[in-house]
Amino acid sequence: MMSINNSTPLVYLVDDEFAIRDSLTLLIESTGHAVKSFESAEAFLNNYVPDKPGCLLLDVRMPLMTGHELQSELSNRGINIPIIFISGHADIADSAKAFRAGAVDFLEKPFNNELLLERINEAIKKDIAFREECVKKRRIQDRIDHLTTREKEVLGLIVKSHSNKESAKILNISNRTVDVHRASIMEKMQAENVAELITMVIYCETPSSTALEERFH
Amino acid sequence: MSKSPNGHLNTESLNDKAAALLDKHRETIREKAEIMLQHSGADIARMSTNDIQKLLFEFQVHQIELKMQNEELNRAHHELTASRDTYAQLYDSSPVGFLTLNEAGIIQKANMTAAALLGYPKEDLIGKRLGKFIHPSDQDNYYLFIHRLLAQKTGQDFNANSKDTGTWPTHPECKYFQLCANASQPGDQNNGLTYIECYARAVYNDKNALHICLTMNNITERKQAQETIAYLNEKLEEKVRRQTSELIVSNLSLMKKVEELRRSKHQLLEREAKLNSIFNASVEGIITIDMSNIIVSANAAVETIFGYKPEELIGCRINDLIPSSPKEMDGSSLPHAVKPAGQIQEVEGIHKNGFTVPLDLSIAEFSVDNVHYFTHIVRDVSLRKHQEQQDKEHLDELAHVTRLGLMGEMASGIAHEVNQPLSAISSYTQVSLNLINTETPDLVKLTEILYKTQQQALRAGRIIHRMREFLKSHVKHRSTAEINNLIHEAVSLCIADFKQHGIKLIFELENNLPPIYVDHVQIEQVLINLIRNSIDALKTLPAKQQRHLAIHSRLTPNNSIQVRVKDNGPGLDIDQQQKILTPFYTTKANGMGMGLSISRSLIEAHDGSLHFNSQSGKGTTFYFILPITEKT
Repeated sequence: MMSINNSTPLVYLVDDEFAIRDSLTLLIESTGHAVKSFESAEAFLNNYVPDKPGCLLLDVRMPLMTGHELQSELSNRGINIPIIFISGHADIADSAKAFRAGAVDFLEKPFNNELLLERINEAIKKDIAFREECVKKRRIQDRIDHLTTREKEVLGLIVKSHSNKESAKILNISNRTVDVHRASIMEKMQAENVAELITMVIYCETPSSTALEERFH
Repeated sequence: MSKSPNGHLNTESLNDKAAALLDKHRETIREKAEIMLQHSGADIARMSTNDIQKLLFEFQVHQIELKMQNEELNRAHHELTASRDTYAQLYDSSPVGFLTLNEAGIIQKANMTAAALLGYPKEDLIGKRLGKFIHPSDQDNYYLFIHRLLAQKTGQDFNANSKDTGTWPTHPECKYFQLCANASQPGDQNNGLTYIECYARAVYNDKNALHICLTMNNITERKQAQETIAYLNEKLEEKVRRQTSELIVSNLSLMKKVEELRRSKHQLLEREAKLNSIFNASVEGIITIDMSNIIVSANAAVETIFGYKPEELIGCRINDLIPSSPKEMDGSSLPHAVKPAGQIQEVEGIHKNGFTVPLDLSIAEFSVDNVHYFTHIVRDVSLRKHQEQQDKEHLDELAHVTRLGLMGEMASGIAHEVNQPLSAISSYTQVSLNLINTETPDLVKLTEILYKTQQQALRAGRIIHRMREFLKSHVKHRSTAEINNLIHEAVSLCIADFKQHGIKLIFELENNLPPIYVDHVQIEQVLINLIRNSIDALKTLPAKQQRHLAIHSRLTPNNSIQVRVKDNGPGLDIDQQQKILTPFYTTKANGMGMGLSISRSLIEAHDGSLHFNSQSGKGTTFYFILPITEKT
């Protein structure tokens, strides 16, 4: 099993301004996080490896690819890293755009350092949670994938709260056969009881939108 | 007499026969006379001598008489013989062939010419049928001819006998028929056929037998000539026919061409009319010159441009009107002198009154019969030049005016730029604080970070300095100005926006306001700023709602000028009203919040003041007051 918690979080920083990269790197490093900074969105895209949890501090106005453009490019590539925008010239339209596209926060330069660090920590936590969720889901999905076709059918009926008898009728098989399938499913899915089994399946089927949900709640 | 051997022989035998007949006749007469003498009863023996003498005398007289008569007769006989010979010769040597046929069409007599025509010796012809010599194709014609001849004759005879005996009726010669002589004879013509023309008449001979006298004329040559003529005629006719059809064809195509020509002539006329109307109605002067620069034509527009009537110009040199024209428009200078059609050069023309006229000139070349002409199209651009001058002046002012906008843009840039070092300073100092708070501060690192902090602070200072430099560059220069003029100027720069957004503009300007002594560019900037703010506010109104912008100017009781810019826009709420004049506060999506702030400082720099009042939902009025100050 993957050990998420053991991997050190990494803060990515993309800003075309050296002073910002330098000062923020020093600041964030002083709080114990590792920082990797890039002077352009392109450089980030070329070097990003999604193996560690973390977040992205992203400048809005940059020559060539802007912060917004990088954000949508990441979304296109299916990279789900929490983004904190840092802008020298905050603009309502800019921030609205960033939030709509799923940014975690939008901070205006010069920013309150404590607030920034706080947001970074929150973002990292979110990312870790998101990654754990993904791993859990993948585990469950793995178990589901190991079921036979017939077992998957039976599982589907269990999730829809059909009794054994009903399932047997629907599938046109004997009650006993359903019982055998059910036992096999419970074992393969490592479920203690039917309630846990159903929770597992439903959890696996819900989209991984924790970050968004948490922000709005 | 010269005779052909045949003819000679014939005549001699005739002569011999005649002499024999005569001798026999004489003997018969002698015998008869002796018998008559015996029968008369006169007996010489019984006669007296006297009587005998008398008788003898008488006999002698008779004898002489008889001799004389005999001589007479002989002479007559000779004459007759000679005459007969002559006729025989005439008969034979006549250029016309004579034939005598019996009723059955058998040749009885023929002359030399006829024999030659038929190609047989005369003797051989006798007893032969003439029909034998007729070409098979004409046989029927021939027999019909003979038959008709004979039938006519018998009929005629009957008539003649009953009515008119004695006179041999001169019955008409038979109409001629063309008969073909047989071609088999060796002496015949080369082409094989001989054409003859026959005239015939049927007569009764002394034995009361019906004869046919027939003449033959060789008409081969004539016939051939006729045939040739006919052939030529035919050819000619064919040629004529052919030429006629050719003529018809070419006539048709000519007619078509004529039609085309008529059409194209019509088109040409139409085009000419069009061109003429363009030529004369054109605002541009159109002057055509020849190669020696002499004006050959000019349109009516030249009068307004140069002051000369078109007819005055014809014959003059173009250089008198446009001095910069090339001296000679010959072929060699052409590439330099005439720019490609459509290229416009700016030149100066000389008006009749001596003033120079700025002109746009384009030259087009054309040639007729190898003679080149150059059409000069000139446009009076005095107005445009004037406009350009004005525009340029205005642009200079506008450069000042737009500086305000630029300042907004610049302030935005500056804000961003200043934020960078400030942000960095903030972070550096935080790091420094964190370092200091550690148990054993890393002083080297701290020094380094503080140094970086200092650098960022200096950088921020430089940015601020640049902004101040920019503001400083704005030198004040004041002059006397009419506030209403400034208002109109400012409005004219925003007129497009009024139209675009359907804003109704209302002027409420007091007349005869005292002049003010101001930097009119700055005051215009303020006015524009206020007007633009109002426009921006009005733009947010729903499309159906009426949009009004009123500009009001008046003299206040304390001798100041007050200008109000009032809109019926959405107005400002209390919170907005509190912040509206502070720098960097804006209600606009892209605003910087500098406009009103700068406007207020500009007005204050003129010892005036800027105010506003606003009611949310009803509109906003900005107004400023400027003291009337004298030039110092």
